[in-house]
Amino acid sequence: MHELSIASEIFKIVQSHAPDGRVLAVGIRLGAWSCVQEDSLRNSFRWVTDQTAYEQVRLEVERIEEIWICETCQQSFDQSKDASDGPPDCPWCGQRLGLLDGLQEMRVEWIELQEEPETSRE
Amino acid sequence: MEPRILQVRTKILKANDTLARQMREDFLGRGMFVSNWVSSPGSGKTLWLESTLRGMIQRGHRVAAIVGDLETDRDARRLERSGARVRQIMTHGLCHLEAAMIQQEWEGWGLGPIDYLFIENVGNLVCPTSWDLGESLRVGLLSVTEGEDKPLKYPGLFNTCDVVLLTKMDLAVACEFQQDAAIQNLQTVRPGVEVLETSGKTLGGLEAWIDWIEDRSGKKRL
Repeated sequence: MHELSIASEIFKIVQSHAPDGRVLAVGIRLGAWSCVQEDSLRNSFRWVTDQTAYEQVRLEVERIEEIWICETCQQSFDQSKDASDGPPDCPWCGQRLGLLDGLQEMRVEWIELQEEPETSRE
Repeated sequence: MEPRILQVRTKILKANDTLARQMREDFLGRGMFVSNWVSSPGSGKTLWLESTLRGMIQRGHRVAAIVGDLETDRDARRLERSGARVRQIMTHGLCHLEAAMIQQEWEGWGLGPIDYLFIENVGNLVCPTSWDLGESLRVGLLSVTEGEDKPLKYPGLFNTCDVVLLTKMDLAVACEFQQDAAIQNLQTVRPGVEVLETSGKTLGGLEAWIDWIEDRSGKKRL
């Protein structure tokens, strides 16, 4: 049940970016070997946000199979490609020296905020 | 009300990772080499760690250990037989150790100078995977009784290991353990990982293991 700890950390990150609770959704990315069971994470997230201003927040999970780290420019990028075919070209610098990495990745990618409409302009 | 997407791109365990990085710098600054031992329950972690602590003390190293279990201090009492200072963390249900738990134990301990701190994680092949404890070395243990295909079944954890110890090698024949297959499976999920053979029963492999960890840490005493 380490998903409960992970859900708590996601909740803290959401709160830090939107302390007023006006959040519609949070998008996370999980590496193929992140050892996170998605249903358990969803249930845990429901539990930690229960009876808070965030209890309606949707948790959107994207599974990533692999992330490449460019040895030349150190930028990361994800691109589905069979590892046995060798690394893809780096979309940032064009070199072809990627390393397979990120299987353990767990990131909050985005938060969908609900904002007040701008006041009408003259 | 208009929705707006805020790009965050933050590691979910950033708080743990940041603390662990600070702890690692602090440990290394004190000349301490910290290892985090992970495996399934019953793989022989505690017995091998007890032997390791005893062997390192005999070589003149100053050692200490922190051990995590859901309940009881049985493992701490076993490890203390080596003569090392030991602390037990009882997680009361939590399936892994986190950096803040190690920090809390360490800061309240008041130990003098230490060369090696060993952390025996909760026996679990899934949950400890993602939590950096400030270690410089992650040690995985795979017992011959578990079967050679464990690394393929639990790739995430074995992928994070710097070295894997095959334990209970004295039982390898009785278990019809296929060592070549086990090593191949480990290399599949963690290319390049070093693998050492050990037996807590016969102490086979102990001196080679202590040599290995001394080489890795750059610390030699006797």
